[in-house]
Amino acid sequence: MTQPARAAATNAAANDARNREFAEAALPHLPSIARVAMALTGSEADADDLVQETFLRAFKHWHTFERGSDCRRWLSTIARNAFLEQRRREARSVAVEDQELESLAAARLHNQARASGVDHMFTRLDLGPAISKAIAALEPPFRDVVVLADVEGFTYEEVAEALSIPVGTVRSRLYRARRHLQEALLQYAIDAGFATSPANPPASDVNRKR
Amino acid sequence: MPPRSICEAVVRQLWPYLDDAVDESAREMVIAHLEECTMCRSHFEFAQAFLDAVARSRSNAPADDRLRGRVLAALSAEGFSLRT
Repeated sequence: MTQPARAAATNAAANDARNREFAEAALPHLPSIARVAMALTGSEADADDLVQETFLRAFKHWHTFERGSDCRRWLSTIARNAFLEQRRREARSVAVEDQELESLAAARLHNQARASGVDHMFTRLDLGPAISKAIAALEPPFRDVVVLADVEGFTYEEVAEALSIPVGTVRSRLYRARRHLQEALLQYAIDAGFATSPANPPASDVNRKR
Repeated sequence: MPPRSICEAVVRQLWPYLDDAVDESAREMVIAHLEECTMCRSHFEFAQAFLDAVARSRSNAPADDRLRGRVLAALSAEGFSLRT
């Protein structure tokens, strides 16, 4: 046998051994893991996905399974970790979508401002006192991030550290706080009679979509 | 998911872009689009004007007299006095 052929034969034998071991030690726990998955996810479809993911991971990392230890527990741990990771991923993607919607809201608010004749409210008017008042009126979690980030000029990371919250939370709260502020200030500008020009029809794609 | 217009894709990055919190490819996409789309550019300019106004509000925010009084009282207990 050549060197590569011998190595291949050794590999094949090792794979056989692994397959046999896995089939004997891990697969019998499938019904038990399915119950764990059902309890974690609360839905049959998600539970099935989780069971599949659990056994794929278990097979890939079979070499890390401590021989003779409790395989069902090992599999349960994998299932739990896979479930938590997935939930974190989903939470993150929801957060990103949320943040992007706040950006879209800023464009819509601009269209409203233009339609109300206060397109230049932030450049031509002294809104200083109104801004301070609007910030003070925010709920504390939103007020804190906007004060640190937009008034004091902290970066997202600095705000996150100062308030002991994740950076994603800083962004979500900050963008939402900005929307509340913009809405309050737009209302203030309109109520105070600052409209300077006849309303122009909004013409943005972004606005029309909604 | 329905395809998004380039305008919507760009505007979705409005706050992160203005906060300088987008990656290089997103930044380039935004810059290139704002060069040619006056409507989107006006949205970004309006939002930037808002941020500038909020940042300026710091200097003209009225001093919080209650807090100032409390700090001065605490300081005076330590022997501080305000001479003007």
